[in-house]
Amino acid sequence: MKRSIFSGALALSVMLLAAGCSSNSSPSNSTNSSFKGTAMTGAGATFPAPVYTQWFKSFLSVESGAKINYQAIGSGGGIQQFTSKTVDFGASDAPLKDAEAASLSRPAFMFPTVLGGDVVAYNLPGVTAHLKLDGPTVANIFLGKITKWNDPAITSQNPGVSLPATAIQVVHRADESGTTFVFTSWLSQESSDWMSKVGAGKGVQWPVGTGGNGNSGVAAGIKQTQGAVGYVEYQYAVSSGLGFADIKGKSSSDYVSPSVDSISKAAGSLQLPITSSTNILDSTAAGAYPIASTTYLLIYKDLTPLGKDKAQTIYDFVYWALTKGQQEVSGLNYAPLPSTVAQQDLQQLTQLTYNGQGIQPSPSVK
Amino acid sequence: MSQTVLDDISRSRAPVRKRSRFGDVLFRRSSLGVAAGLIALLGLMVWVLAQNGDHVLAHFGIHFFTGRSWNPVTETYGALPFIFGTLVTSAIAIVLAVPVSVALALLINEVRLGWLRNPLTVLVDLLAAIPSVVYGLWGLFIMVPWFDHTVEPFLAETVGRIPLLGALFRGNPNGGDLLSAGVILAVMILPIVTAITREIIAIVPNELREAALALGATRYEMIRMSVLPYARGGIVGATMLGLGRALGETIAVAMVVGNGLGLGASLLRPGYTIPAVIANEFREASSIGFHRSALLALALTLMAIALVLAAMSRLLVGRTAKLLAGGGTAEGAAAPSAPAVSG
Repeated sequence: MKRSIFSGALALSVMLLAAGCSSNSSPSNSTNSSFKGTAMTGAGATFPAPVYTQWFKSFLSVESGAKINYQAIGSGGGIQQFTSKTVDFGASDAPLKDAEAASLSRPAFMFPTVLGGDVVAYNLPGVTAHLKLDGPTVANIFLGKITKWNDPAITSQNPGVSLPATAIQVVHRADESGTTFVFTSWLSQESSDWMSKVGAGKGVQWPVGTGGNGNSGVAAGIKQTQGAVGYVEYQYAVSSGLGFADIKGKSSSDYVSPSVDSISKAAGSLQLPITSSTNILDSTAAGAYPIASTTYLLIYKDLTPLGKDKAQTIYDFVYWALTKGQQEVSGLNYAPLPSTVAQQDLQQLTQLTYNGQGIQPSPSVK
Repeated sequence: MSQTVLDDISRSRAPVRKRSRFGDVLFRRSSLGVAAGLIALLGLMVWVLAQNGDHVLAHFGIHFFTGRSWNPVTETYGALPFIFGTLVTSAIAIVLAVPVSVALALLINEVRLGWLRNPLTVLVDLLAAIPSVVYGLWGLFIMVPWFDHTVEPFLAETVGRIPLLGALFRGNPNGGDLLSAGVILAVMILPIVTAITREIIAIVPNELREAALALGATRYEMIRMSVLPYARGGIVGATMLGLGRALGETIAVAMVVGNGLGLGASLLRPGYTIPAVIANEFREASSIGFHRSALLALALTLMAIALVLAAMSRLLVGRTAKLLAGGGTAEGAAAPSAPAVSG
C-alpha cells in the first residue's frame, strides 16, 4: 500500500513536471533531438504477459511513441507468427526447437527476460506448515502411485506434521501450456519412471487426475477439493493464496521454498546463447528453487527489414527491460534475471544490426 | 367460388401478377443460390478438414478411432475416449432435458396458467441467451462443488447399490466428471428443445383435442391420445436439434467434464469430449508432427457423428410417420431434424 502511494506520488510529480514543461513555450533540453520510438507488434507467451504489459506501459514514459501491442496468444502461436514475420518480435516460454529454428528465414536471437517457477500447490485443511516433497515423491503422486496423504513416502519427509488419510486428488492442466512443459520436464529429470511412462511436453497423457483450464482452472480444482494437489505458476499461486510445498530436486542440498529470490538464483548458471536444450531446472546453485523457468523474446539478428525507427525502438526496449525494467518485475511476483544473465543478454543485444551496423541505445534508456 | 369470379379477380390484377412472376423467378434463383452456397460451404469445410486430417488418418488408420491413448509426447493418437465422452455427455443431456422440455411445452400449451404463461415462456427462452462460458463458470464454481459434496455421494450411496444400474454411479465423485457435463448440457439444450416442442404442440389441430374430449377422455388422456402422437415427429426433430447443440458444445463442457481420458461405465469419473480437446489443445498444437492433424481429424469425426445421428433421426421420423399414416397425423409436424453442430 505504502509502495503504491509512493509510486502514485511519483507519477503525479512526473505529470506535473511534464505539464510544466509543455506549458513552457520553449522546448526543453532534448525533446527535439531525443528519439520517441514507434509503434510495434509482438505476439506469444501468456506466462510473462503481465510483466510485458507493465513494461510496455512504463516504457511509454521513456519513449512516448513506443506503443507496443502484445498479443498473448501462447508460445506456439508466437513462434508461428514470428516465423511468418507477421509480428515485429515473438515471445516463447520454451526455446526454439531445432526444427523451428531451422525454418526461420534469417538468424534470430532468444533473449531471456524474466523468470518464473511452477509450484506444487495443495488443499489440506489443518496442515499449516509448508509440506516438504522431493522430486521422486512428486512424480509418484502424479503417477498415481502414492494415493493417500499419510503415505510413508510423504510422512517421512515431514516429521512433526500430522497428515490426514485423505485420498490424493491430482489436478493438472487440460490445455497445452509452457507451465506443463516446465513441470513435466522437471519430473522427467527426477524420475526415470515418469520419463518412460509419461515424458515431457506442453501437453502429456496424464495417468491420473482431472484437468482444469489454465492456472485458474487448476486453482479452482484445488480449492474445491480436500486432498487435491496440482501445479500452478508461482505468481498465480501467491496471488490466489494457495498453499504450496517446499521442493527438493536432485541437485538441491535441502528443501527450497519457492520465492522471487530462490527462483532468481536458479538462473545463476544460465549460459547464452540459448539452445533448444537450455533450461534452468534443478540448478546446482545454493538456495535455488528446482522448478524454475525462463521466458524469451525472439528477435531477428538483422533488423533492417523493420525499418530504422522500429529497429531502434526494439533495441531500446530490450535494453531498458534488461536494466531498469528488471526492478518492476518482483512487484508482480516474477523473478528478475540475476545480473550475470542480464549482462550476457546485453552482450547479445550488441550483436543486433541495422543495415549491417550495430545499434546504440538511445540516451533516454541509459 | 365460381370460375368466373376467379377470372374476374385475375383479370383485374393482371399487371400485379406479371410483376410477381418476375419476383417469383428472382426469389427462386436467389434461394437456389443461397442453398447451393450453403452446400458448397459445408463441402468446403469437410474438404479442408479432410485435407488437413488425412495425414493422421492415413498413418493410424482404424486405430485412430479405436485407440485409447492420446499422447502428444509419443505422438500416439487414439480418439475413442473423446468419441465415448461426447456420446455419453450428449446422451445424459437428452435423457434429462427432453422429458422436462416436453412437460414444459405441455404445461405452457395445455394447462391454463393464467398470468404465469408469458413469464414462463420468456424465462425459458432467456436461458438460450446466456453465453456458454457463463454456464461453464457457473458449473465450475457452483454446480461441480455441490455435485461433489452432496449430489454424487448421495447417488453413489443409493442408486450405486443397485446391481447393473449402480455401475453408472460408482467411484470417486471428486472434481469435474461426465455427469456434471451432461447436466450442464441438459440445461443448455433445454430452451431450444422446449421452444420447438412448444410451437409444435401449439399447431396440433384443436379438432383432435375436441374429438378426444368429446369421446370422454380426461385432459391427460387427451394429451396422450391426441396431442403427443401428432407432435411426435416434431419432438424427435427438436430433440435432434438439441443433440446437435450438445455434441458441439465446447467451452462449458471443457470446464466441467474433468478432461481425463476415462473410459468406463461410471459417470462419476472424468471424461473428455471432442470439442473440449480441440479447444484445449489446438492453440499450442505443433504443425510439426501429427498433433494438429489429429485434432482436425477429430473435428471431421464429430461432423461424421452428427451426420449419422441426423440420418438416423430422419429414418426415425419417417418410420413414425409411416406407422401413424392413415390418420394422416405426424406429417405436418416433422419439420426440423438435422442436428447442427453449434458451438
